[in-house]
Amino acid sequence: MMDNSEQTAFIELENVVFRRGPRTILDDFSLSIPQGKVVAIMGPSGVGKSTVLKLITGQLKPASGRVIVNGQRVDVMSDRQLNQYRKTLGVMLQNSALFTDLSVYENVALPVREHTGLTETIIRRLVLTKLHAVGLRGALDLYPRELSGGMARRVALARALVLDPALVLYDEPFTGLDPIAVATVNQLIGHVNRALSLTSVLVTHNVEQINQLADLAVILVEGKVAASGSPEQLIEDQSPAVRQFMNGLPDGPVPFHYPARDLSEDLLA
Amino acid sequence: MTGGGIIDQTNRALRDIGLCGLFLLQIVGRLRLSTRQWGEVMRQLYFIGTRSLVIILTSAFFVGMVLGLQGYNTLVQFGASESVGAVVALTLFRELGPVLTALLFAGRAGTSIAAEIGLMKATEQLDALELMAIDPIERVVLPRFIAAVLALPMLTALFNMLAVLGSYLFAVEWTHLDQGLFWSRMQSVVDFQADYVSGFIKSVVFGIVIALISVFQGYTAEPTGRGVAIATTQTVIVGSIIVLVLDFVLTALLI
Ligand SMILES: Nc1ncnc2c1ncn2[C@@H]1O[C@H](COP(=O)(O)OP(=O)(O)OP(=O)(O)O)[C@@H](O)[C@H]1O
Ligand SMILES: [Mg+2]
Repeated sequence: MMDNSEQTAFIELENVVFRRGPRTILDDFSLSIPQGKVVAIMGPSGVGKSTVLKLITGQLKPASGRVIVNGQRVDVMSDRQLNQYRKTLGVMLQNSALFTDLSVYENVALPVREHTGLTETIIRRLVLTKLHAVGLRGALDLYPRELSGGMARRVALARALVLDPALVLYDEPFTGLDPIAVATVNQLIGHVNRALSLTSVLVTHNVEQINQLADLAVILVEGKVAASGSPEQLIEDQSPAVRQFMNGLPDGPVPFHYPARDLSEDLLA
Repeated sequence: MTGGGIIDQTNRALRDIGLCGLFLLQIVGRLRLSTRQWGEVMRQLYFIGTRSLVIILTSAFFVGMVLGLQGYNTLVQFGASESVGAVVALTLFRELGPVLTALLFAGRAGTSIAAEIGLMKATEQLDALELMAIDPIERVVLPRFIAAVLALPMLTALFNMLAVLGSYLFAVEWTHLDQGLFWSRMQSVVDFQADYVSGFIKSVVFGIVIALISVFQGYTAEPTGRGVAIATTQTVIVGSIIVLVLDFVLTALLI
């Protein structure tokens, strides 16, 4: 909103408050993600990174504040509008979520079958291209139970990209991958992002991959954005929270513990 | 999760019945009768049918033999042993066929439907469908529901057939009852309308009830291993109780 130079915001979270029972997960949280960029969201486990993604997909609604994607208010959409919106979205969930009773091929083909009237020949070409890109064209007849965790993530990636979405959300795409697969997935995310000029949001703890891939990185701590900027800026940043996170230090302003009573109180109770 | 007071439990039960009813409306509202939907229904029907076939046919055969044995032992004292076929058929068509098949079906097919849907929920497959703008109720719940509703009456018919066969083998092969007498007594006593159709109506109602409970338990399960375990047990417990209660109500209405 502020600067309309080349970076129009594609996703805008404005003063979002999100609660789970008595706990406030996101507290007056604002985040702006420019169109066409790869944005990394970092932060300690349980801070609410997946929650942010679920607000963007409309799976969760904020208690107050606004979620705007591509000029549309996601937080007030009807079910029908949400369905329309989600057709333009690619999502890779934290645990792959492949359909267990469909083969790899059918998993990737499902969104195409559902939302386009393409012929079987074209569907096949489309699906094979995507599977080839993640290096799993040979695995098309396998079932999810026959895949390793890393293979399943790559199939999920192919499935998220099969309809060439305008926005792709990745929840921890590198977890459980071997170094070669990490590099492959990394390249792939960067490549599709540039080739299709789509916007990518990824949640990850992998600082090295962020340096290579992200245009912008955001660190969440205790319901707020603690720091944001290009990876280079964050590496230079001297604030304690950023230092702790980028260097993986156990102690510092970022709490390791889920909110709790004093330990001695619990032990003596 | 401890039981809570009786008021609490009643409240919860009433709420669940309400939610179940709403869920049924949601399912039925998505009935399209498109080729693709029916293709999926047929696929589920095949799974559900083949899964339940062995247990239902084996049980039916032995139930038939026991009925034949008990019936013969009683009837022979009155010199009416040739009526054993008729007695067995009446018991089966009116009561035991629909009820036993429904109970076995809840334990075999109902639990696996509940577990399957619950597991899909726990592994975020249902979320993934929603995120692809695919309706999980239409895609996952509806085909299993319709398939289960269709399967139970068919399985009941098979149960009845096998049980009659069991009693026939006992009466004719074992006690050497005249087989012409066995069949003709059965034919003259059993009334298609009063006996067979009323049993069929029961099995249709039981099918709807068990199908609904299974998909509801699976769909509303807590998305964890424990949640799925609770959903499957609840399917058997609630399903069996409701079948037995409804059996009484339906018998009273149909007689
Ligand atoms: N279904 C739920 N019910 C209740 N609380 C939840 C639920 N899902 C998440 N939470 C809470 O919300 C908080 C944020 O969860 P979220 O999944 O967004 O964390 P995250 O940052 O993605 O963590 P991770 O890196 O471990 O995936 C957590 O502290 C968790 O306790
Ligand atoms: Mg997460």
